Amino acid sequence: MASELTMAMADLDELKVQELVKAGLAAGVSPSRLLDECREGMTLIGERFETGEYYLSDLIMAGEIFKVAAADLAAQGGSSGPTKGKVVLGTVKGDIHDIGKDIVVTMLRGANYEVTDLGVDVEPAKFVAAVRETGATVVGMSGLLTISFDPMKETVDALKAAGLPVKVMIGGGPVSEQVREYVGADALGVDAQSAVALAGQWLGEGVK
Amino acid sequence: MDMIELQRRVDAVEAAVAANRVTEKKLSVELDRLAIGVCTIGPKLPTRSHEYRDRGEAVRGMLLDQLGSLAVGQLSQLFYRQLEMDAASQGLHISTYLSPGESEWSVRDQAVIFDLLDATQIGVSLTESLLMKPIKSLSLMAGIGRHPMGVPGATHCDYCTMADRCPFHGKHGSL
Repeated sequence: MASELTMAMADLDELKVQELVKAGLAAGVSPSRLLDECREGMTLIGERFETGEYYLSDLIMAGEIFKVAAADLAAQGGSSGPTKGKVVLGTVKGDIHDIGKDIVVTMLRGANYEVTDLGVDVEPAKFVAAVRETGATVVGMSGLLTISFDPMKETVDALKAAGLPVKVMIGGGPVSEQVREYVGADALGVDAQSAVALAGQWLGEGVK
Repeated sequence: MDMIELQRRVDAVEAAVAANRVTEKKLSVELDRLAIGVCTIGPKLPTRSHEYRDRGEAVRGMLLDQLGSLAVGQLSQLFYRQLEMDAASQGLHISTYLSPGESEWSVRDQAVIFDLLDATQIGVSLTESLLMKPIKSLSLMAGIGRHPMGVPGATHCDYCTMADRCPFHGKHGSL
């Protein structure tokens, strides 16, 4: 059964989350356990988004609440142990839209993935360098405009040319299955929750 | 209101069509003139939205961003309505408007609009990757002619390939 903190997180009750975290710490509950309860709340939020109960703005609100709680708990030594895996994410070269990308970053971090956020207008070479540096096995590329299709393709080609064994997901307003095929990506993430599901699927399979 | 409207003579349009940069099909060919425009709400709102998000107020930043999208959509509607009235006053018809990068119209044609129109007058420029800056800007093109064009009552939303995902679909710039 979900804890009170998990449910407060899932219900986006910001003040209650803060109170319960504070009360939990004062009562000697381990910061790591409280962090795990917050993450469980994030999972429920993702499920509610999938069923249409929550909207994009709810995911953003969830991200805000989680970030604050996670920062407080991390300061107290809270940790959820090893992350589920490493992901490199960015908005591709030529595009500077970042809201969608930021939501995916927040949801992945909330689900305990280590995310390297490269920001916007990211050159293919920068994706390659980040994968090499971090050892990430999943790459996410975002683009809100049709101008992003070619840079996505260039990035996939660059990752392949570099011989990096990564799975690539793409997302953004105009992105479709046809675009995925053109770009050569492994999957299309239609929203933040599906990006989390894809990461889970790939990293659960142990992408090597 | 920040907007520019320029109507070039048909020879300029024909040159663009001949260069295969403007898709005749998309513009419902029986036109005599093209009206092109660029609308922007300027850089202040996007900057403020970023400031909010940078300091951790993501919801506020996102809402402001969405309001910016709505505002520039409404601005393009106002511009189009003005064109429609101007055309009607001369006994002319106007097609629905379309924008490069939407409705399967290549974003590369953004360069055509910016070649014909000096949008720097309202502070809008085109990046090398064909992105308009400030980011809350819209370009559009509509045909004007002596005969009705296209499907009566159709709007750009009817041709949009993102209809299943767009929060503004069918609302034509309003909520």
